[in-house]
Amino acid sequence: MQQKQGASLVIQGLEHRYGSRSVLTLPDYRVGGGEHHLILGPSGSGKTTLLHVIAGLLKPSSGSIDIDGQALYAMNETGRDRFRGSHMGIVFQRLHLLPSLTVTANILLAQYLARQPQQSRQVQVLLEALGLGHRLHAYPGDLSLGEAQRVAIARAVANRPRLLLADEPTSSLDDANAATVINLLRNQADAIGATLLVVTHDARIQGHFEQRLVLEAAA
Amino acid sequence: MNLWTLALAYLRRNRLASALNVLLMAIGIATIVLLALFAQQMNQRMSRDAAGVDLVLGAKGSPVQLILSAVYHADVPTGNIDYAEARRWAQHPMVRRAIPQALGDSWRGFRIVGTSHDYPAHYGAAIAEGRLWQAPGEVTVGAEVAAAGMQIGQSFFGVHGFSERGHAHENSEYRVVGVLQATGTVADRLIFTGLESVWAVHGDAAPEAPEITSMLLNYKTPLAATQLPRQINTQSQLQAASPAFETARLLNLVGIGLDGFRLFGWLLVATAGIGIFVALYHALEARRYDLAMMRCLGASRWQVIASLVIEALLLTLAGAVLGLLLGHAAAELLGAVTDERLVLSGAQFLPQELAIVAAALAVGMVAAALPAIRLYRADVARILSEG
Repeated sequence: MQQKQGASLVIQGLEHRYGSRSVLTLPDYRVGGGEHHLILGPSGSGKTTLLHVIAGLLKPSSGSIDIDGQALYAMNETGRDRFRGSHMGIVFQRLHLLPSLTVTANILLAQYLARQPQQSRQVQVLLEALGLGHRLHAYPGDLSLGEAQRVAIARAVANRPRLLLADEPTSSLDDANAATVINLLRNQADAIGATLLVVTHDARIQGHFEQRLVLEAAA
Repeated sequence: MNLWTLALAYLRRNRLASALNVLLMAIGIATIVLLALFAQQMNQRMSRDAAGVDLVLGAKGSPVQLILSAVYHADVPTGNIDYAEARRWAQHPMVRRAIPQALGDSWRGFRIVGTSHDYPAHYGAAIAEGRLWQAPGEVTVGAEVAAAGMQIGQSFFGVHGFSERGHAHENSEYRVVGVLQATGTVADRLIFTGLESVWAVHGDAAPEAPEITSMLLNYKTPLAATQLPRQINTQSQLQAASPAFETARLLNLVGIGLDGFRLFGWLLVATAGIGIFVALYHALEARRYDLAMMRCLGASRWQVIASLVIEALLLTLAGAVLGLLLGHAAAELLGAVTDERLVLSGAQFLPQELAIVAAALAVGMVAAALPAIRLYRADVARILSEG
């Protein structure tokens, strides 16, 4: 299969305010295609805001975000929704698997919403590769935390996104599992040739990343 | 996967609440449909029975009673009238046909009607077996009477009145000489004989001043409707009543009762609507992260709203379809178990049922409206940062 090139990310003059309170300022930040970056900061440093801005979910007060040279906020909302669906995969700390759908259906839904062909066979292969072959038809409520985490990662990579975003993927895990999840994210990102961006306050995983951005708590 | 299967998955997950809402909706729709079928079929039946009978002559009294007794055979007569006087009106130039009838006796609840051969002919009841009555004492029976056990060659005594336990006239015996074809009208439930037979049972086959119970008139010209009833009512001892007018009056009265039931049905539909609204509103809270996640996966605002509206649509549609089935099944069942005079059938579909389903869908859409608006305003980033 042809390897897709990871997306590059260029942020310039970014600032987001709630009212008059500035919660995030980032004058210049660049991520090269295929790179793995860690964005580290304490709570209140605006890192979740940054993730939402990069994901196209939150229009910043000022500044521009270009993904592969495309200005994200020049698109209208529906355009950003589509762009997000086909170019990005997101893993949240709270996994947000849809509880009324089976593991397989959760991932097929991601393909459907991203307007990708729904390929049960490909989904099965993906889940098997993540050690979930026996859980294809289980409901999220019946999974262990580790299994659910892997399903969430599978869902994020199912559409072979060019940008993989993870928000606090390890905060609720012990050291061993945190390392496992980070390795899984990095391996999956490399496997599909995606750029990986991990946002966290979890200092334990710093060592896994050479490229780090540290956000300061807002004054 | 698509939005429909997604909606189904959520409904399955909340199957108890879903089933309750569908059931409420279904019972409401079934009630409304049953009433519509009942009203429609009663109307059809009554207008079929009264077709071609423009005016009824009878003794003074309640006009509704006269129509009920003379046309539908569902009440006791208002009294007797002089046959000679009735015949004078029958020969009026505006009258095309006049059918005399002498009532009074019955057999197992089926009325014995002394009349002319015009009566079965009027309802298009041809002979199925045997022949029409000729000599006194001979009868020809309607299809339902035959089905109740009255066969050719059988003899029986009439019972005075309309009940099954009345005084039997054991002095004079009737004999069945023919059976009529079914017509789907009141004629099926009648036992026809000559006027003389009825007179004979009550004393004299050729009385000096013969009396009948009523006479059914058919106009030659529509103009008669404006003149004849008034003439008869003012110039004679007789009463003239119009089946169309009295039937409309009666159905109007019945209609007020039906309206109450219909209101009850719509109340159930509205309750189901509120149930669906509560379910969706609750879903909005319970699934805020699911809905936000759908946006993260590439769904537009409208797709997320559609997923919720589809749930309302599926609930209402299921309720409406189930309600239609229930309504028709109930009509069929009621028609089968009740008296044959209540001819209710579920095998008829009314155009207004489409309107009922459309109204139910509208209720579902209204129930979905407020949750949809809230969903439209939802801020995905804010929901996700709540975690």
